Amino acid sequence: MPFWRSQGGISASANAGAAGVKRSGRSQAVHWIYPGDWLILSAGLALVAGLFLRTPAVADRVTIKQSGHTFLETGLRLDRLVAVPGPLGTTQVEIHGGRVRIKADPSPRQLCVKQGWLQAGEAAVCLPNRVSVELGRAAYDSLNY
Amino acid sequence: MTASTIELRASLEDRRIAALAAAGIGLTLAEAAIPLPIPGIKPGLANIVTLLVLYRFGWGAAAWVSLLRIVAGALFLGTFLTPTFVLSLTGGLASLLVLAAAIRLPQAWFGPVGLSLLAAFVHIATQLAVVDVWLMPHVSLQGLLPWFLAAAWLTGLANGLVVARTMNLPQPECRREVAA
Repeated sequence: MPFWRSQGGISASANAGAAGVKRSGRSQAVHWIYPGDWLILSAGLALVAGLFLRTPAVADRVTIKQSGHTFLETGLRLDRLVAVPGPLGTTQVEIHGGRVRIKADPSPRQLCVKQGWLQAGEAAVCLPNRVSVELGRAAYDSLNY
Repeated sequence: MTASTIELRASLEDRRIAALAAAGIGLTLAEAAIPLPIPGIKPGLANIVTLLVLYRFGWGAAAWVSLLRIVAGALFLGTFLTPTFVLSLTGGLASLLVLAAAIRLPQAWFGPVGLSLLAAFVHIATQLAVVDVWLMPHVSLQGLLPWFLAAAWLTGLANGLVVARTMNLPQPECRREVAA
């Protein structure tokens, strides 16, 4: 007997054994999952699959360069202020709350400071002081993870 | 001066809840002994007991059994009042709330597998939320979310099938109660 014909759902099927209805466990296995359960199962599976496909490209790799040479490579996990010395003075790079920006720079036009917090994949370049900050996708390495 | 004795009368229902909670604690301890490669992912076998109690004795009994199991299990494992315990408690409470709503769904359409899956998802989602807000606010858990949810899907399905199988077994003690 299919489960949806049984009156009272669970209790009826639970008592079926007691009522003397002889059924083999194997053929019943499909009926353990109710139609709504299939709905929940497939919705959950779709959610998981969607999350796997849409795993955000986490940009958490900050590369600070000075005169073309890598000054510091770091992540966004720790809030800090990095002072980068250059020909004009010190450029302050701020990492705060998972974001990075150039906080202060001795250059006259302040272009890289006005750029504000960097988006993923962006780079801020302070030309007169020869400092650049790039925010890129993480390449997992054993030192940081 | 006569020694006064305090007698705690345990009703039949108290004993039943205690016995069922003990079953849950046993499963919790057994599961703690299973080595698992990824921290944070475990089968949640004790939820089988919670669901069975929910179906047979109602939500109140299920809440008692679940919360007793969480507290006593934490005492046994030495994690009482640690972050692990808080995660376990918040996850358990959220699951109980969802089960309270889900048990009211039409029972001809939603069975133990669906409820188990819902509870598993809510359990891990709550725990991740607590970790994100309270334990590790500056660490992004987004990358881990699909893995945890996939594990919850599998364990929720497996536990739900066990519950469905157990409920469909002939139940001798049930018959005795009916006859009495």
